Amino acid sequence: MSWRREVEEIRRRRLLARAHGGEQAIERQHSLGKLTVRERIDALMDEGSFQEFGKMAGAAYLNAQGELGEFVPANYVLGLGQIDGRRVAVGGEDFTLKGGSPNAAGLRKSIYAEHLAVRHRVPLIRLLEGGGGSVAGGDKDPSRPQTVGSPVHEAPRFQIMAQAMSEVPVASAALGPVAGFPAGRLVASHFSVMTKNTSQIMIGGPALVERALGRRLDKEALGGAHVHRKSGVVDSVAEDEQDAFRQIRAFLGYLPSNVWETAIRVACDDPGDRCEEALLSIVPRDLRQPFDMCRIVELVVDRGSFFPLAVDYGPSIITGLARLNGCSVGITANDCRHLAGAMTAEAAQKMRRLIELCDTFHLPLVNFVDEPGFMIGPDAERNGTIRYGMAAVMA
Amino acid sequence: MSTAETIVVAAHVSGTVLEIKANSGEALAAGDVLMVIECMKMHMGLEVNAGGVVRALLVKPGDLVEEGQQVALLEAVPG
Repeated sequence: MSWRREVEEIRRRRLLARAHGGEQAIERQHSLGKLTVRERIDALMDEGSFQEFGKMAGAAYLNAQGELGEFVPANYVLGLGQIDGRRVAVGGEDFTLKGGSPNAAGLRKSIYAEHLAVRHRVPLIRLLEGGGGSVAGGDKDPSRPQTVGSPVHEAPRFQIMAQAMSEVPVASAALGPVAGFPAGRLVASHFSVMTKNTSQIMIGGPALVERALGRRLDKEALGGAHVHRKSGVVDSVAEDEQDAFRQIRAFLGYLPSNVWETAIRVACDDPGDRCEEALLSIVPRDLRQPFDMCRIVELVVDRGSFFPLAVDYGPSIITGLARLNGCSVGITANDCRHLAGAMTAEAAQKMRRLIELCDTFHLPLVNFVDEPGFMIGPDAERNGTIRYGMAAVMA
Repeated sequence: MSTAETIVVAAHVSGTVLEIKANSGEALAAGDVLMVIECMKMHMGLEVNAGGVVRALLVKPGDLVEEGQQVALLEAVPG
């Protein structure tokens, strides 16, 4: 008598988990220019550093002999690994299984990923592609929704996200259609990025919108990059998945691993007393002539270190991260080429978000001031500019 | 016989037309400033995205324009 049979089953489950949703589903994923979730994790992390958690979680169906017949893995993959030698937690939906809409084990694992990051006090990265729980009727009783796991309103599901946001850096990427709860996860981040041609972000997808509002819009029209680069939902639009991973790695490089630490000071070969001749002439003597504030920021901070955020959202104010003498700093600046650099409602929200990020992770803030004040006019009044503006001022 | 392509130039900001820098019939290259619009006290040069010959100026100095409003028509120069 030995445990050989059980050990063999564990081995088989792990093997079956790696099969994702099958060869056809993987092929389809690739044909659309997208990676599978495990390929994404491998591309994001330091080579060979990923340690997967809960690989054998899923639904097992036994045959008449009591042996493992079929195994449907959890459609969420998670674990710990390293980025630039620093430990991080990572998780993402497996779109090849149920289109990323959570199965029971997948939902549980997606919540566990947040706990993992908080418990280990390491940054959390979410690689998102999937819808929320289905509200359509199930096979057994079409009148009842076939949702899985605990009710969506249960406290722990949101509480842990809030805790993660207040304790560790959270970066999320939309790498395919992201709707419902995953879309909520995407914005519950300190940095969110979407791929230009292969991702869409929607609270409710096309079918839901048509049913509720009678409007027929496809995914791209509803929540493509052209919508969200200006909506403020994402901080950046990436050319492709590799670019999204590069941006996440770069973003995390400016931050400490958690709020109990300070950001790492990187080696810097840019002399601290470097003084650029161009700075003498960028600002025109004629005060009514616009100038390129972004160029000024780039010339002042460590060479190549400026990482702008939400460039097309509230463009009258520039925000981003950078380094000065190797130390991470937050940047805010007025861009007079857009409404003279006035604080619009959108620009104010962008600025407040940056200030809160710096506050959470103890980054100094450097402000390049060319401030005409709050935007005025009927649009500004309608947009509630004074409320958002004051919130930014008091952040 | 081919018809030359018409390029529509739209205001990039809302404001008052301060100065028009090119006359009808004048050729502009991509990036040239066609007119200056005052917005929030700033003098914002409206650069053309593509080169062409100015065929119609739809506004004059002192006019109020809205962002996106057509302000000029150019005729594309066959390449």
